[in-house]
Amino acid sequence: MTERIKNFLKKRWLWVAAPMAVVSLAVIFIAQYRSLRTLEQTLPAYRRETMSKFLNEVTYSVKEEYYKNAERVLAVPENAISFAHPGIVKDSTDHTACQKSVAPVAEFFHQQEFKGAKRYFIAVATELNGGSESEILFYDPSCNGMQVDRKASEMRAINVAIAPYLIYIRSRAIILAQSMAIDRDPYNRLIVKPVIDKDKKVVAVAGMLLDEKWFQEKVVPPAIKSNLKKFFPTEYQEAIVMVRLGDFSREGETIFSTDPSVKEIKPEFLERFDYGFRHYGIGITMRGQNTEQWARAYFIFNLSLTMIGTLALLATLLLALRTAAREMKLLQMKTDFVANVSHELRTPLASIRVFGEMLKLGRVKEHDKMREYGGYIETQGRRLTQVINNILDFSRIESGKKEYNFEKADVRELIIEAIEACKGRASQSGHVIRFSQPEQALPPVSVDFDAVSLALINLLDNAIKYSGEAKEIELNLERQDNFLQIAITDHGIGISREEQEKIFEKFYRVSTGLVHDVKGSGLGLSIVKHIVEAHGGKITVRSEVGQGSTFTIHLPVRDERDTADLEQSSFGRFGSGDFPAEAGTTN
Amino acid sequence: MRKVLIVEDDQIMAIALRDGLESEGYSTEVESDGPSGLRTAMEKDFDLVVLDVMLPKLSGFDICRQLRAAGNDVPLIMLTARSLEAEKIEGLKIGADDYITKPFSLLELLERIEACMLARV
Repeated sequence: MTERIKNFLKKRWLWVAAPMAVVSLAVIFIAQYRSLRTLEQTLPAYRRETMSKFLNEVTYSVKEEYYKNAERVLAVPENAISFAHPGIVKDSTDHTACQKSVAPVAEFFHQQEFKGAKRYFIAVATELNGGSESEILFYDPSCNGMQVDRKASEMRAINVAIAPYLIYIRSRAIILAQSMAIDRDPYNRLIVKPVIDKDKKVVAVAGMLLDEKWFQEKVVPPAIKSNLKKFFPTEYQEAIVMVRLGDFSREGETIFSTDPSVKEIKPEFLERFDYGFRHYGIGITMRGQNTEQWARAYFIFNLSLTMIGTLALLATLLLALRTAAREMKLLQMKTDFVANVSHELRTPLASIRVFGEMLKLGRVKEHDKMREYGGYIETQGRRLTQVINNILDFSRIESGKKEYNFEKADVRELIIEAIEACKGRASQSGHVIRFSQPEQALPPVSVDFDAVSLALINLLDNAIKYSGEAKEIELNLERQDNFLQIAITDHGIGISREEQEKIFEKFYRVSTGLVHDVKGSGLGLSIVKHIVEAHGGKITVRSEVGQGSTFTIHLPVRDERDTADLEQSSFGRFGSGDFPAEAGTTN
Repeated sequence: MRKVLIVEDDQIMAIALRDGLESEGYSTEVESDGPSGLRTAMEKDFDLVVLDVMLPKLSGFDICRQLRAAGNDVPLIMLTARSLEAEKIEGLKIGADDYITKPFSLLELLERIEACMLARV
């Protein structure tokens, strides 16, 4: 199972690595972005701007609220008052005349509703017994009428407030009919609005006394809360907003605070309320992190992020380098391959040519010698054929055009023929091939005769080539459950552990240190592997350096029934194909 | 009788060279690996050395270099089956007298051997 995964990874590593790299980089990017956004919001300049804007907005919205309401509830219509002369109301000593003249105003005030107002009034210029006076009448909701109330504590403040307007009334001036807030008297804050006639001349003054409690409890806190959420969406908890009557020194009095546990603050920004509540100040400061604190808190986070980013970059770099190195190595191998193939073809040809030339020139006298030379020409010819077959097979396999023709065959016959083909070469170099086989009958197998022959000849060839001084080569055939095992053993130089994996790769030749030492094209074992796997089998190697190697071909045995399936051609290609089943399982 | 040392690891090729040269009247000695070839060349006198490039343990190039470095200027012909032009140039540069690629014609080889020996006289 793990071998499947390993092989899959080897082939398709890019498909796994690329999405992983993209995903992790995306995650890193998003995390950094969010953290930097937070940082941006803690930047002094950004924060300061926000704080300042916040205060502006709060004071402005409070002012707007009062202004709008004032404009509405104090818009007494001019015809609600009966004037004796323009702007002048006739009065009587008991004020009843005046009351009657302004009675409709009560109706107007009755319809208005503004909880921020404590009391409504109207001020008019009067004429009493020939003298100029003024009168202030309060709206009395209990009797729904306008009343004089000279004892009212507000009288003084109101008188001061309306004084300029009385002058305007008597001089029949035209002024803007805008409401104005007057808070000279902090205990009696009021808003007045002139009443004008059709000619825009002032005829009276309407006004209201402001309910301070309403301001403190019902106007300011909501304005602050709603704007806090608006201006500090993620960190409104961090803001401390305080409203004080007076200033922010010890003498002030806290009217409202977003955090009651904090008694005093040193506000980063402060503003005064406007429009009737100038004595009130609003200040804001941020608790919690400024930029330095943020940086410290996020230090670990940022460091890890940077490290991960660097690691990702390094990993990618390494991957790229490794790929490049592999490619270069492959290129080198291919170049070597071409040179070596050249060698493999030319060497047997050289011998053939020399012997042929000697025969032609008549330099060979003895018959024995002639037969000997004939033998050499034959074996070298076979050797050449073998090399050419290897190259052609390799080329076919590489281009995906390799076809196998499976037929029922007797394995013993196959092996004996392969050994025969190698016998000549073996004896010429003093090697002996021993064949051991079991006595009991072996089931027939479905094989491509030529292909398996080629595979065996390649293995025997290798055995001869790498045998060194040892001259014994053993070929052992036996049956193991559902497999036939053909093992070829030599006692030569052996193969190291690391190389045992690589030797089946195309172009690979075992290195013995010297470039010129290694002959052969590097194709043999890769072709053998391909052939064996195309038969549904596998090839294994057991070897120790200096002791020799055993290459074992495992061929699956087919039932009579199954043979029918295999008698067809099958295409093979390096790098694809099914992986052989574990020995011992049915295929 | 002129003596030729043949250093060639392919046994069949070695037989071909030996028989071919002996049929021309040379006496021959054959070594089949690098170190013994070098040793023999240093210890004994030869009129010419035929040296294969691809040898186990010590390449033909190295043998040539070492011989020349030791002051041994015996005529030397290098044989190779590899096709690289660069190797040919290298061979001549390090002091070989001639360089032949396999497969070659026996007569051509014999001619070149003769030429090398004449050049030295």
